[in-house]
Amino acid sequence: MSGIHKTYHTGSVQAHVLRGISVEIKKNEYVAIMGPSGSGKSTLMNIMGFLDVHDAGEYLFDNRPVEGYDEEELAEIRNKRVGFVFQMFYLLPKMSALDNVKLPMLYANIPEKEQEERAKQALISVGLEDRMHHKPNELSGGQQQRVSIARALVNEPKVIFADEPTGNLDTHSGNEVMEIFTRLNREGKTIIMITHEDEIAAYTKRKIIIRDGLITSDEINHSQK
Amino acid sequence: MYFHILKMSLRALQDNKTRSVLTALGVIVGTAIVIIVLSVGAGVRGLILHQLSSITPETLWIEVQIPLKGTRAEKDAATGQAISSGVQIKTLKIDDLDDLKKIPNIEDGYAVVIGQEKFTYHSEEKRAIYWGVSPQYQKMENLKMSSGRFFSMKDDNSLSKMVVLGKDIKETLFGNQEAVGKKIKIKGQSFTVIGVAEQVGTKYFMDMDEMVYIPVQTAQKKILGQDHLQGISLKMKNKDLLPTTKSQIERSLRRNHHIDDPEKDDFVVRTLDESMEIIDMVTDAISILLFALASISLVVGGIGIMNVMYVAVTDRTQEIGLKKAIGASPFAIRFQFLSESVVICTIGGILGIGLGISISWLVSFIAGHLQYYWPFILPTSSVLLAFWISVGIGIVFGYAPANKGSKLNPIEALQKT
Ligand SMILES: Nc1ncnc2c1ncn2[C@@H]1O[C@H](COP(=O)(O)OP(=O)(O)OP(=O)(O)O)[C@@H](O)[C@H]1O
Ligand SMILES: [Mg+2]
Repeated sequence: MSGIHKTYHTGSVQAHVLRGISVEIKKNEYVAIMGPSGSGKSTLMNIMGFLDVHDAGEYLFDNRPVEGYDEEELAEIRNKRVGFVFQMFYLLPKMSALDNVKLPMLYANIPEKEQEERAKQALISVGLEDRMHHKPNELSGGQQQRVSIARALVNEPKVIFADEPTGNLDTHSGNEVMEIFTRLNREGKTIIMITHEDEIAAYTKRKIIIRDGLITSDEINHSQK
Repeated sequence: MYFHILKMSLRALQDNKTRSVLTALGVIVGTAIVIIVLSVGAGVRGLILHQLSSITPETLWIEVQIPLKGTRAEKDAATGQAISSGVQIKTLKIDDLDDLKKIPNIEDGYAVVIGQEKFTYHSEEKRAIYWGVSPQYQKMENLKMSSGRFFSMKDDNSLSKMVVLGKDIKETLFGNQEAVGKKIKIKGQSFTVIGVAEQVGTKYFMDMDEMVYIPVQTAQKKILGQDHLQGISLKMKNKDLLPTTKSQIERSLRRNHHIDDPEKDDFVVRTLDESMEIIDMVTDAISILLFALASISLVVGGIGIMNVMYVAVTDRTQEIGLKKAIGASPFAIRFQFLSESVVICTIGGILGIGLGISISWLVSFIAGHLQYYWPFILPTSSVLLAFWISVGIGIVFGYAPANKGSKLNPIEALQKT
């Protein structure tokens, strides 16, 4: 992407949050985005992950410009090509872990039997084989985040976006989550995450720092954990 | 996928059972009214038809009317008004009946005068409606006697003072005693009871068992002091010849009444078809009124649904945001909320149909107990109509909220707390 701008309008107040971001992320990269609070990290990630749209600049995804996709096409990209992990997990409270993981497949029109099979597989891969039928409020924060990773994985996207995935977790759970991401990256997934913690960023291979809507530093991490 | 989303909707409704039922109340009432209108409407029709069941396609009824330009309804209204304000049209006579009976397709006929008098037997006294009729009445209306006999041509022509009593008035005046052969007093004159009719029930919306029958000419000359009639009933041999017969009747009456302009007719010939039209007009008018009522409550119900669905979309903004973030299309979100409102309305509709059926049945049950023939009719079309209306309400009034939900920006929706 190059020259990306984003301005929020709240009443008469305008916040020029992204002021010309240019960055290229290749297949199978493992990137940490860092920077002070309010610098525009989440805004940038939401645009990269098709949850929001930029005002100016060019964004190529898979070598194709994303401008001009309509809502139904965007829904399909969110569904199949990218996966999102949020700081707040955002699991649906009335559904079991298994049903939460099945949800993206529901919108992908996958047959019920296959949904069940793949959701179980995804939960096993994040180490939750014995918690499948628990509701979110019966799970710890770390377990909930692992459910949400399974949900992001289940439609086999190439890219996973994670906005402070360990922000609400203790160090131990945070490390568990990071180990999952590292394994996924080894298996070929592109992973882009936001974090405030250097120990977390240490798991990644590339570190981008944003200040006031601009990239101020972009370097390879030679000492990946 | 749709089946699954539907299942999720059902679960969402289960979590809010009371709210859902309350929301559906307007739809319940609306569909119930639709059922009641159609079912009770059919029942009323059945009731009226039964009351008029002795009118066959062969029957013709001649009545006096005020000569007037205008439509049938205007003439009827004017005549009704004139008669109730005491105007009498004195042109229809027994001679007219005699002439009409000469028309080849007329099999038989009877003349009618109607009045009200006090009937006394010793100390027992009763005000009742009497019909002065020709002797042919018995055969044409199929009146059966439980004792005695009906009057004959000879009785009528000789102005015999005799009466036939309906079943109930006989019991009022005589109790269990034999009535035939006894004398009762009408206007100070003595009349002999020659017969008592079997139970008839209500007919033409009159309680025929409270009725007294008197030979028509006796009633005219000895009680009313007049020589005109209120009406004549005729029976055709062949109903297919109706148009010809009707114009023959009109010609004959115009000749007798010296009328050359049909606009100035002082009589009207009514047929079964015409009576049916009037019945349809009345029942249609009632139905339209009730349908308006049903529409109002359906619209109110629909607005209620719309309101609740807007609240549901707002309450579940975060859920919508999450679903969109993981790839739910606007269409899928719309489908989810639309299916919720349709399910609420459909359940409401089914409850309303049940309620409507129960009330319609109760009405016919009570009417039956009150000795009215009131059939319980449930047209299949009414159930289908009510059902599809409730589904339609769900779609029409659920669409706007569902559409609003489907258009939310995923990240903004997700960050709503
Ligand atoms: N929907 C919005 N409307 C208006 N302003 C917004 C909106 N979202 C974010 N902003 C503003 O944009 C700026 C950048 O927000 P953003 O969430 O991208 O920051 P961040 O780098 O992710 O911060 P943090 O580390 O606290 O998550 C902030 O000043 C914020 O107030
Ligand atoms: Mg942020």
